[in-house]
Amino acid sequence: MKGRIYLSEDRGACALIAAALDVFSHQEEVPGAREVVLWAMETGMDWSRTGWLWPAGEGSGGRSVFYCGVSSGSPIVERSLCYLMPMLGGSPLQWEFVRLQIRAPRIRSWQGLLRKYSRLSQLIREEMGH
Amino acid sequence: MRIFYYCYGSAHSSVVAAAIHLGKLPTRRVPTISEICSLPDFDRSSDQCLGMVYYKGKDEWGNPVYTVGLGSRPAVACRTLQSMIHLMGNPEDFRFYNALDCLKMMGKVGGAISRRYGFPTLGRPLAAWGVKRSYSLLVALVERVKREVRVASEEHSG
Repeated sequence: MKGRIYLSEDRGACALIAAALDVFSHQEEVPGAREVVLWAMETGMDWSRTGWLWPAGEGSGGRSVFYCGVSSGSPIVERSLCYLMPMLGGSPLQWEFVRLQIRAPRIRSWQGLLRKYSRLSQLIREEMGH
Repeated sequence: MRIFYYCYGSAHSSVVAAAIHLGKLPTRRVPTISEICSLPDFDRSSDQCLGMVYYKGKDEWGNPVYTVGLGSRPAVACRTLQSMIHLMGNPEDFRFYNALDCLKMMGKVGGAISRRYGFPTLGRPLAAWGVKRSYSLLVALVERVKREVRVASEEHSG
């Protein structure tokens, strides 16, 4: 499996938006807040489970996309995942890690995400170079 | 089954727990500061090594034992590792145990003085003294782990 993991140092809000932008990248228009929230609910995302890797679907380049909020220390999480993958029969070379600089630690609910989505998605698109 | 002891930096509590598990430190008495400090990996890792997984050896059932430092939010980082295991493997084959919770305040302070602030001459013996004070908790953790491993090994073989 070739995968891409978005990591953000918050409850997962920024990683979620980045993953949504990737998964919806085939659309001409940027997805709206309600569309992303409904989609994220379908991925099973749970705000109380910070650190969990949520499967987002297929992104650009056919890669399986995942997203994860890690509170802090995303380089540590990335490094430990790279050590773990060979034990699981995989290779870290098959995975791309995207550590987001932007974070939104105050967003802890769907309502919070709806309120801040517009601004955050713009900042994340800028960070991703879109 | 792979057994992981994790803590902040893979320098103190996880290293001692793994050493107890592998029989390198005693379970029936508290080791001396010298015995603790003479572990080759005690108080050695640096912040650049956070997240690296260290293989420590195999236990009496042939299970590989590892240590890993997961930084200041080890439980969250551990959850990420466990979710990756859910995606790619069998969660029953990977066991994670938090050794940091067993270490009392003085051990943590000594470890921070040595590793974070760079004064091992002062911090290392203080960390070892803190480990001595926490030793019964670390032995209790390892005994619980070994009970779980024994049961799982028997279920697997029988």
